[in-house]
Amino acid sequence: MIKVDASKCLGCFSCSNVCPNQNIVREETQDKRSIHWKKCKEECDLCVEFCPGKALTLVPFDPESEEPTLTFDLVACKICGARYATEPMLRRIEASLPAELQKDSTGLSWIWVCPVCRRSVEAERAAKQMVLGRSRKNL
Amino acid sequence: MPVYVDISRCIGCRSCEVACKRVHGGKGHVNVHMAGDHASVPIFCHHCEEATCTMACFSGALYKDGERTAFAVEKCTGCGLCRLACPFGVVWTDKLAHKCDLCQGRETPACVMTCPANALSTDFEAASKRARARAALMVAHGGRI
Amino acid sequence: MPKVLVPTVCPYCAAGCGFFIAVEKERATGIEYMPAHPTSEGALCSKGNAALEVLYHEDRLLHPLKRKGDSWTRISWDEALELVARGIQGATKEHGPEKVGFLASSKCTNEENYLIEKLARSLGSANIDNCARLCHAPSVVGLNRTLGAAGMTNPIADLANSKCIFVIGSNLAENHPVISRWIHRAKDAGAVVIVADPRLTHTSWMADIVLQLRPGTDVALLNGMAKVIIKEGLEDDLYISKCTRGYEDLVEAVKDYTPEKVSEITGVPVGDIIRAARAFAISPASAIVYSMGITQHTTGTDNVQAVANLALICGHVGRPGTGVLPLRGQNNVQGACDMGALAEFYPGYRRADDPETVRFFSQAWKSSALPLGRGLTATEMIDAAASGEIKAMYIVGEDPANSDPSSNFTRDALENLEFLVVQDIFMTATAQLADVVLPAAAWAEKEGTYTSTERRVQWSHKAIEPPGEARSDLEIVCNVAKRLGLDFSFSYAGAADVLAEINRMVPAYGGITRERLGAFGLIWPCPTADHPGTPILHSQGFKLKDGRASIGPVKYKPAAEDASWEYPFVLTTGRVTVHHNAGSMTRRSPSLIEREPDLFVEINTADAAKLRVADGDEVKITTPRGETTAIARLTDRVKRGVVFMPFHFPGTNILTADVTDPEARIPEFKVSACRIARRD
Repeated sequence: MIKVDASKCLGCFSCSNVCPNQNIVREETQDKRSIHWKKCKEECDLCVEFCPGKALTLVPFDPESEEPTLTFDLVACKICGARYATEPMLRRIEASLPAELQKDSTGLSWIWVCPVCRRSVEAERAAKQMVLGRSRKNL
Repeated sequence: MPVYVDISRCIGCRSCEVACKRVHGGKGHVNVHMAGDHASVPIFCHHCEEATCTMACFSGALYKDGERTAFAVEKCTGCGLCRLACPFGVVWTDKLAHKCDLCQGRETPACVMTCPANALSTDFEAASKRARARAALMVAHGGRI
Repeated sequence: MPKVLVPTVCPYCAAGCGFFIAVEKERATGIEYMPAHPTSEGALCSKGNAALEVLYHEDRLLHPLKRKGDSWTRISWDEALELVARGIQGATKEHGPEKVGFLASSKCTNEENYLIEKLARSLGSANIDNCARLCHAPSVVGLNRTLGAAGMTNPIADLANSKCIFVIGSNLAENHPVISRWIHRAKDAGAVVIVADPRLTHTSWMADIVLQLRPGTDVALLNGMAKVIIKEGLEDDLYISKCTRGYEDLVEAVKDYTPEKVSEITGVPVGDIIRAARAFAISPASAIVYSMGITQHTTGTDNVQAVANLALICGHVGRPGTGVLPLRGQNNVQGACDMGALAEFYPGYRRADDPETVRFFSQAWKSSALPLGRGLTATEMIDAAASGEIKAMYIVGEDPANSDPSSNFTRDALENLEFLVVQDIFMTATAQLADVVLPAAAWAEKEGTYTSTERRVQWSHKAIEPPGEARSDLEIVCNVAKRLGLDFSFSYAGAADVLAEINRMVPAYGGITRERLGAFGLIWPCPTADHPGTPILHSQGFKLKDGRASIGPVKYKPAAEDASWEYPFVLTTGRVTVHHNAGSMTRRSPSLIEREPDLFVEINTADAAKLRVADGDEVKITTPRGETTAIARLTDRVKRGVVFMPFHFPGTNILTADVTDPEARIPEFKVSACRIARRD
């Protein structure tokens, strides 16, 4: 049976994806994600092995204990406000990358911006000269 | 090494998007962004030298293979960290992760071949030479007539 | 089973790109690019990349159908052919062959179009036409008159040799994307690009000079440019005196079209008109590229003539990098016209009202029933159906209920027919109105030739079998012909056999035999078996009197409709890259419809503010013909007072007017007066 260390769980998709018996259920609304671990007797330990946060351990089956559920508020994108990630996941990214890569050439902390806006920002930057040149022509 | 875009040639037809999706079983890795009314730019995986997606990947599914940022799907658990670790938003997760693999197994990437405007290329030398020649022409003609 | 790569020609636009269909275990499983193709070099736009999504779509017609009230019963081919024969023959006997109409298909092969017009005329009906009437009929009429031939004069790849490319009324970046690569090549070598369009399109991104003129004012602009060229002495006197006739009339006709007057009419700044005219005339090789923005007007034929006049007075015809380049739309609209599926022409552009034409074909087809005189055009056939002058119609691969203007009127007209048979791959809006529906094969499921916009005739191979009981259009037309007693002239061993007959009937196709059609086809005229084809036309003169081109001056006439207090906006229509024409194929392709799912209307930002319309709001657009709902897109691509809608969705043509060019009979799709309001 699974035991969850709430301080280490990132709220990612790994354990719910790898569990061969659908014992781990993920639910997502507009601004929250919750993960629910059902009591399982399989003891296959795939979820333990593939948890990036090392938050899961296997403990002996106990019919009295509650099935753990964790709920995360989804962080809002700094540019468009769309909810796109859990905070522990973003902090984990910050911890994995050297400091100089966490701000882009304009000083934007891109980790706190959603992927859609990241593409927009990159596209606008790349096309800036082109857009200026073309819009001047059409005045 | 990544696919280079000559933005002055992009006509916003989205053929690269449709082709990429088609050759990768319905999961495309290119997004054409319209910059207002005046330009369009396809955003590709840059195959970064310092690839942040490989740094965030805990299973080793994403790794550097020479200049290419490679992906071994059998090691992926679909955790979603790579999607958040890409500064350009070009790693997607859809159960498992997927991103541009420079069309391994094809002689020329599908997007490069299919681009009707001939805006994409894997040859950085040729692409920058052409851009320099065009800039020189602009200067020679005093910015046109 | 190994994978087989079958070479085919893309079924979408007339650029004529080639690609391979990968076939495994008799199924089309993928597409491979064709880098050796001379025009596309392996490129393929989003539509071509999604082409396979059409083949296995669940909406494909699989069996012949008969109308039963508001729904359909499946019938056998035997019963279907019997019904079709009785329907057509009944109408012919009871009302006369002039009361029966035929629409051939600009998406079908040359062989199939040839047979459809042969069928119509063998039954005594002159009413045979195709959707070219809706797009390049003015080019057919206008260029035949000025240049003696109705086709793009130079190949697409030749644009790389131009030093000045003038694109007017064409959004080729979005509608013939592959042509962009050749224009970019020209630009890399120093070419100047001029784009004239009421909208700022992706094509205008390539431009050095943008002329954002008011819809319907093209003759004024072109005459104005001619006036500048004449005034500054930039015309090509030697070329004019050697190769043209009528120049003095033009000088006289354009003398009042000063830049100031033209600027007032078109809204284009004086300086831009002068710069564009100079750039076009001075360059050693200039090409004019045009499309619907020039043709889809009540002055379409005049517009085409004004375009040709400009090219002629500057001597920009008949050499590499020059030319008059009408970009055709459908994959085989050029071929459908070459094969005579037109009301005024028999195959090879022989005039239908010339007794010599009828004599020639009567002998060739062993028929005494061939009609003399021009028949009703596609647009006139709809009017005639409404008034009861046409009783029965046989429509192949066309969707007038969506493509023709004034959709409400068109649908009522088709419903008024006593008998309607529609042959198609999907249950289109037109097929919905039929009495009998015949399931046809798609491009990958049959073989034959298609003629692209650059007059390149290419053979497309059969990759897979048609689904269900669908048959190739060639087979169906021959089946119908046999039931109508025309077995003697409709017995063919296959498409190659029909092509062999075409070689004898159409001089320009004389040498385009099956054996000679290698990987990338031949460009007509190719009159004999050892002729290499003719990429550049008019290099040795013109097939007109004295071998001279005919400069015919035209006057500016405003469009039929203009903004009024009741209808304060001018609606212009056009296309987007991911969709194609009436959308029956692209709206059913998931990769394409997800990129452009809804009918939208582009409204200028300032105009929208006054209407209190925000981006994404649902709005109602109303014209005297009817009303449609669309999603508002706020943009400054259109100037104040102009709105734009794509016609790939069924609502747009409810709004357009069926007022036509008096000669070419093309509807004025590009100018309608409308009003807009928020839907709530």
